[in-house]
Amino acid sequence: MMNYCLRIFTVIVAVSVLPFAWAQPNMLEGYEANNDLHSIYEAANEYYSGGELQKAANGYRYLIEQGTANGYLFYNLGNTEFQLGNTGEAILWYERAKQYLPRFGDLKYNLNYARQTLVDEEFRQPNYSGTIAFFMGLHDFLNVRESLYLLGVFVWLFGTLICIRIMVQSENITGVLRPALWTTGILLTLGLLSTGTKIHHLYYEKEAIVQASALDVKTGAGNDFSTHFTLHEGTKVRVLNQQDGWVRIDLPTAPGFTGYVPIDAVEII
Amino acid sequence: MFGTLKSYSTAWVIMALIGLAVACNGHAAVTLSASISNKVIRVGESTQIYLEISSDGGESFQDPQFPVIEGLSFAFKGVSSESTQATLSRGRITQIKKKDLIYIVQGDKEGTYAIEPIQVAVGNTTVRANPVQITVVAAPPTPAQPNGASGGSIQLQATSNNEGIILVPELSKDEVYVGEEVQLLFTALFPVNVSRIGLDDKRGQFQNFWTESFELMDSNRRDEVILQNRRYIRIPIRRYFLYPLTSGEQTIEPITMNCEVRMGGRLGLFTQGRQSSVSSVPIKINVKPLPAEGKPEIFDGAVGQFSLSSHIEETEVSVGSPLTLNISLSGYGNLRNAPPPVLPDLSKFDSFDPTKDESISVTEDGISGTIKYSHVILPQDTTANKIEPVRFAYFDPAQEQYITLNTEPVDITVYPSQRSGTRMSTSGSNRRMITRTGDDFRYIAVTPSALATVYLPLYRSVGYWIMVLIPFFLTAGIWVYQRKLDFLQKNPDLVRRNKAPKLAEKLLADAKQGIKEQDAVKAYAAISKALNDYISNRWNIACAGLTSDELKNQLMNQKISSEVAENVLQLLQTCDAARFSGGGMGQDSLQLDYEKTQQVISELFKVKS
Repeated sequence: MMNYCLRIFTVIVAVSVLPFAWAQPNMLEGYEANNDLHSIYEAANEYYSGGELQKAANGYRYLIEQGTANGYLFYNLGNTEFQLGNTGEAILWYERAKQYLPRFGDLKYNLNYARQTLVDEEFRQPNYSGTIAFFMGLHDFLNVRESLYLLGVFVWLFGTLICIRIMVQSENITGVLRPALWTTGILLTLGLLSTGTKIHHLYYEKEAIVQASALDVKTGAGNDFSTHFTLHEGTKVRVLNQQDGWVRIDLPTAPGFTGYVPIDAVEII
Repeated sequence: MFGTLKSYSTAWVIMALIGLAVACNGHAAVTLSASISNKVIRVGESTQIYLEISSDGGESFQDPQFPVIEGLSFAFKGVSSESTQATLSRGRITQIKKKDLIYIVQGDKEGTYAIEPIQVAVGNTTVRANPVQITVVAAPPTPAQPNGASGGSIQLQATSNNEGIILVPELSKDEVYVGEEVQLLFTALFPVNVSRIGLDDKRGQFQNFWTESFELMDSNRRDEVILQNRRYIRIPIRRYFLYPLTSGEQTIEPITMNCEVRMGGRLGLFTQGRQSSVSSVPIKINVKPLPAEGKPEIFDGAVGQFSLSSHIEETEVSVGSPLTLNISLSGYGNLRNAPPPVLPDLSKFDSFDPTKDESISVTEDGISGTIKYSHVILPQDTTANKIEPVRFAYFDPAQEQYITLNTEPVDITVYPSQRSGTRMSTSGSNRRMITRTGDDFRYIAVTPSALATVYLPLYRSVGYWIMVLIPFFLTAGIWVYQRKLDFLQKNPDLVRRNKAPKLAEKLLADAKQGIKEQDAVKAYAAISKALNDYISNRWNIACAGLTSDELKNQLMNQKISSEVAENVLQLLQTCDAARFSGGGMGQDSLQLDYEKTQQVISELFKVKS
């Protein structure tokens, strides 16, 4: 009896595992089965170097699908897509990488390079100058995570100075503390503003990249509506809302340009 | 002898320095740069050429010499600025002379002209300016003169509001072809002082039109008019350039002009503003479809006046080497939506996607500019020796006919490749993949840290908020503690009163230790001190030095019952007796007195202050 039960159990286990055993080798063509993530990453890099770009892109995509969220990985996928001629996809992954690596020079360079190839030249991001450029540079210097850490440091610094101010009654120390408190307070306020804006921009304002080579922006959510203007692959748009398979978009750098496009024609960053 | 040698050396050094200075002066830098304000003009129109001459040798300039170009006329307009600046650098005085000149160039004939070289004689040298290119396109059609129209435009029904503000729309024509430019001008007449003038055109009024606009509200365009014995300030507001997208009767819904009417105070001070608005009437335009007759096969919707040119940078290359075919499309009309020119058969070439460079400007006269396409092509073999004409077809509404532009064919010489196997492909189709080398495209990142997941929205983690909020709680705690310390510092009696029970407890523990050790003197001393200190700390009564009656009275003044006061006195007397009699009390009575003291202190504790 015991032997019989053991056989049945073995059969059930084998039937359950079999589909996975078949599926595993087909999951990632060109890569060895049961490879760990690191081996897949190295293999994808080698495919890129060897000019086998589609395989490299598959490898990077697989790693991202496994839950790896890293700017360098996104940047590599962006490079590969650009080399494959998919400018829209490339800019999408560069933009995603930029959220993680705002200071990475190669990323900035390649994103700018890819933007040069866009058809919609008039809708490029504005170039700031002077004081605005300085503050925008500071704002863009850190990613959200780094900004939050820095904000934490400012909070601790400000809190510590306040505690010293409460505990120490000496006039000499109070005189030194006052400018330090003001400076830290201003830094804390600016840090709060910058981080808040960044969080709002990244997580509450949806932006997307046009993936279609030419995209008619309609005046309403449907093909029957007239075309308001036309966008092309790689252009960044702001997504305002969704409605029946259509999204209402506008162009942050070109006021007045707003309309509806099919949801599958754009990809949210 | 040495003196003579020294003087010779000195003289030689001075002469060498002078020679060097002269040599430096002889190589004074002279620069001449030319720029043009509008690269595309219509026949009969003019634009300005700016010449900037600069010399750091201080030489005087002669008048520029323009080349004779058939189809263009040049005229001197004036000197915009002239300056001479002297600077002392490395012990040498340098005189920098600058002169900015303005010339007018008029287009007499259609075509694309390269104005080169403009020459200027500066001192003994002749300098040449950078080449400047200008495109002259056909003159625009004279608008049809409908009934009552004047000045080449149709004045539509004006509207006014309670303030007497009048909004006048003017249409360049009311019947156009699909894609043909029609201009809509809004002018306002104000009988009162106004500010913050704006047109609200964001409500989809221009459906079925592709639009551009040009703001006109600057002070130079304002004038005064008298209308029905009333003085008005006339301000042109905005000119729209409309390009109909579909045929049929199209309606532009009313456009509202908003402004703020200034209510003047005395001497112009304390003025107040009141919002005022006036809406235009709906404007109808009849849009005709483009004629089917004579439509070229390659026509793709371009309407306006265009010119096309192409050139190739090198005409002698080897197989597999790149050539750049530059195509320039210039003109008036809806250039932004103009389709690209049609390329000839390039099956003998490998070609890449073109790059596009737009230079389009919106002026008061309309939209004009140039779009440049650069195609990189690679001859596949030596038979790829001709590039056929590039073509572009458009509809010219002035002539009401389709026009096809063709560039000249270009002959090229292709030599066999020096390298074997370098040809990239024989497919001939447009290839998307571009392999870049060198510094033009940055390589992938090969860092192992690319696999480390970075969690960006840290603000969603509880740990982060705990770390951030700790300083706030710490600060609040320290503040409260400091306030308490300050309070206690200012109220020492309260401190003593609060400490009294704990101190008594401690002394009673000493007394218990004395009982354990069978040391009656120690135990009674501790009991006596416990009672004395508790009373002293709690009510600020110094027991020592008071008689029994005085102490009893003072205790009773603190609302202590006479029974408890009696017990206190009795215990104190027992303690004194035991301490000063050498501790001759029994262990049992000592234990009883200890327990009684505990009870008395407990009773005293219950007394409210």
